[in-house]
Amino acid sequence: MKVGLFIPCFIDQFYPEVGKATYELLLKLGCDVDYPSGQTCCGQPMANGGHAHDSKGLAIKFGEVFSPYDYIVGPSGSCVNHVREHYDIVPQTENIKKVRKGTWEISDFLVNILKVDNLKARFSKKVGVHNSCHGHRGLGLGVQTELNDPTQVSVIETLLNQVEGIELAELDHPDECCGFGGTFSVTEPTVSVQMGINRVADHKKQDVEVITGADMSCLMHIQGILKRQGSNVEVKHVVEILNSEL
Amino acid sequence: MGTEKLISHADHSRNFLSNQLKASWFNKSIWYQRDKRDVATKKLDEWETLRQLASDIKAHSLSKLDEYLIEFEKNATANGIQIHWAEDDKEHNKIATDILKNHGAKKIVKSKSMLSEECELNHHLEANNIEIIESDLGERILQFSGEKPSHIVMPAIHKTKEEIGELFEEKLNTKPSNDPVYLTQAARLHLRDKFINAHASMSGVNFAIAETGSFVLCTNEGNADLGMTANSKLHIASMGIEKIIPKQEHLGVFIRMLARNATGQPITTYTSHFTKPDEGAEIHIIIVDNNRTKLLGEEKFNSALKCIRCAACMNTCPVFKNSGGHSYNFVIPGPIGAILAPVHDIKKYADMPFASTLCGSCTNVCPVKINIHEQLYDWRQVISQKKSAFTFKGMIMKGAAFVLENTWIYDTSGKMGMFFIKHFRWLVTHATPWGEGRELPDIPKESFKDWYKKNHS
Amino acid sequence: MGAREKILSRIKEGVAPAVSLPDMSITDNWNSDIDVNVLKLVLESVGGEIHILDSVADVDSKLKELFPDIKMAYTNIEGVGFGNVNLDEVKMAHDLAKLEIAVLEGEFAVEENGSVFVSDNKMGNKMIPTITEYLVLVVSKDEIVKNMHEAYKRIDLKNIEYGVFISGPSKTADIESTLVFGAHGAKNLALLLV
Repeated sequence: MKVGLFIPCFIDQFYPEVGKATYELLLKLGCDVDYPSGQTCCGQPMANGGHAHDSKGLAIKFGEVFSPYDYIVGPSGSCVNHVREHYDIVPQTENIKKVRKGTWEISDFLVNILKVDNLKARFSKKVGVHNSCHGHRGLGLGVQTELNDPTQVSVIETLLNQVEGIELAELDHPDECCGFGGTFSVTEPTVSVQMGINRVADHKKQDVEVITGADMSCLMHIQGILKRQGSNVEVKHVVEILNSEL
Repeated sequence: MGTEKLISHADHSRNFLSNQLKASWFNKSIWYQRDKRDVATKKLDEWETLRQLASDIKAHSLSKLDEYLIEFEKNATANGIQIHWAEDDKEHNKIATDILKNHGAKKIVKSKSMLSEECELNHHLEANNIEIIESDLGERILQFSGEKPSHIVMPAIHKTKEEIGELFEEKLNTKPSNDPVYLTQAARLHLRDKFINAHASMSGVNFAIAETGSFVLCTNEGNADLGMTANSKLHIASMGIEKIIPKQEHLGVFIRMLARNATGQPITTYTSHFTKPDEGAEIHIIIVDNNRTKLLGEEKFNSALKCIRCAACMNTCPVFKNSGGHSYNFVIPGPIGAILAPVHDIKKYADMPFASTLCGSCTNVCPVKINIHEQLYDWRQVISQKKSAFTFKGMIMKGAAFVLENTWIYDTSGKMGMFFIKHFRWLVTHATPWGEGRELPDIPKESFKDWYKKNHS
Repeated sequence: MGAREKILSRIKEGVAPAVSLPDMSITDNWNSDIDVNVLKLVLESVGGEIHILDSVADVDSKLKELFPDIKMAYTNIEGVGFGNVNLDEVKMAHDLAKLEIAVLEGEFAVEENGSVFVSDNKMGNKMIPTITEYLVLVVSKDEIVKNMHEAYKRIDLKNIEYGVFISGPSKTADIESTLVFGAHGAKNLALLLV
């Protein structure tokens, strides 16, 4: 199985260690991973701001860059969700059809494609999970509290529960939005920051040492608030925890 | 006619959040509604099936709306109800005023109707020297304070009991108190008098049944029932064209869901069905379009007409919880308001679909499965395209797309961006919206791409 | 062309997708045996009370026990001698404004939400169920349905001028979400199952 590594633009620029952890984790789990260097951005930031029509070229480019792979795996639920849900703005060529079907969020890929059930990792800290909305509700990665569907499973927790030494916190509002929302974070900064403060408070109430999640953009926003507060709570992408050595 | 300059959602919200104590109180009181809703809906194993049934019934009704409206009109008329049709708010208000004037009705009690709010009926009646008394407690409070509802189920949810106590002291001569029991009792006595002396009553419509020509009103206070029965000589109900459902048997689905999803109650205290007027009395129904047919012609947006106004989407919306209902300029706030507003005036309400993080919680709680967050996304596309392509934001987006389409420019400009943030960090943190309450991430030595190239060439 | 024709023709131009009506027989699956205890718990949770009596003959004594000192009461239930209001003397709402107790026959009760269906032919005057301070509804133990799907099978709106499901006393939470009973309608509600 040939895996194309999809490292979203802001992870490439701001959080290269998350890209590395994703890459290493996939290698460890025996995947044939390749990082196509022609990739840039999936187009989500523009589309969420109402400019999907300006991002058509990016969708086509994504299709060209990633169509050679069986699976396209990335550490961002929102970017993956964008490729799957919103690439209806361009003609549905073979390339586009293939990448829309073949793009996976990494924790989803680990649980539902690789069927990972014995991850060798250790992380001895109290961790709060931030369920980022686009992965959580868009891709169905977690237990959506609004629904009355007892069959729902959290893929992130399925993986974290395999990590030795970890303690997962129970939050009051496990799937409330952090307020990042892409362009929303700068067009509505006051509400965005207030929502972030509320999320951080929920985690702090449980004395978590680390806040983790499957979307680095939300975590960047949460990290920015923690730093402004002078908090020592850390932020880590879930792949960084899953990639921790025994 | 000049365009009215409205305060944006972002600015309203900044103002709302400047009172942190009240904002936190408001957030908790809306969470309380959401929590009650979760408990009630999880008691029904068939909840998700009910949502599908409700969605299908409403979607079907919209697909044959003309037939069902004609059937409703025929049956209601046979029952002795008089039907009127209004293309817009002005026509609605004129019809209502004319009926009232013909009956010499000068004092009216009205139960809560979002459609009458949409039409700004009260102003119109008052201008015609007709006294209109809101009989829902929350609406009456707002009528006293001169405010608009901030929520479609709990219109005065933004007001504290202290504020209401002071208001009642001034308007009802109550003694100083913030006890909800005492204040409610005072309102009961005050409004009892209004009910008994009213010349006519008015209401909205929760559901209209084509098969029987009946309409249904759901209230907890009993104000619609008391209004209609204490003065059963004349009643006028205002109804949006989308309120129609085909058959009586379909009511079961909606009545099971409405109150559970709205307030966590298993049913509203009063679920009242009106089919025929008393002998010698009149019931009039005004069927109103007011841009609803325009919405029906919008392929991506017409399913918003399935809405039954339960307010669950605002109770769950994190933006609503942290900005309040008055931060939205449209009569219906929150996620559903944000997808209904643009069809009324796309320029005036252009910021509403952007007052969301697209988190999708609204869609998950919607009892009729409206894809609210997807419509917010789609409205953003329509609005951005309609706005001049040469706006500043538009230029930036085009510029960004150009950069991102070209790998080498992206690689180079990424480095330039990082350089900029690294060396002008103070400026970014202090002079951009990002810095309002957040720090920037540390800038890494190299990008992932550079690291990968170094190690894999 | 008037508003009616304009609206109807614009609806025809609408583009709502064709969706067929769902099969409602699925709701039959949610019907099952009645549990009076569930009805009791639900009704109490919405502020009402419930008394289970052996027969209609016990209604009178129960009412006297519940309301020992009442000036104005109304009933139209045969065999119940509790009321003293003569509707022939009632000309307007004002005449009933001081009504303390109304004892009415409910058609049936609904287990899932504690509501009782009351139709206009059993109300005496349509304003009685809401204008009274205290509402007592008498329903046969055999007349309880599971849920609202079953409830709507029991009634025919075409033959009713006005019918209402009443679930507990009138209430409001419009002041700081605090639940208060007795907004405009009855402040108390008792269900007598006979």
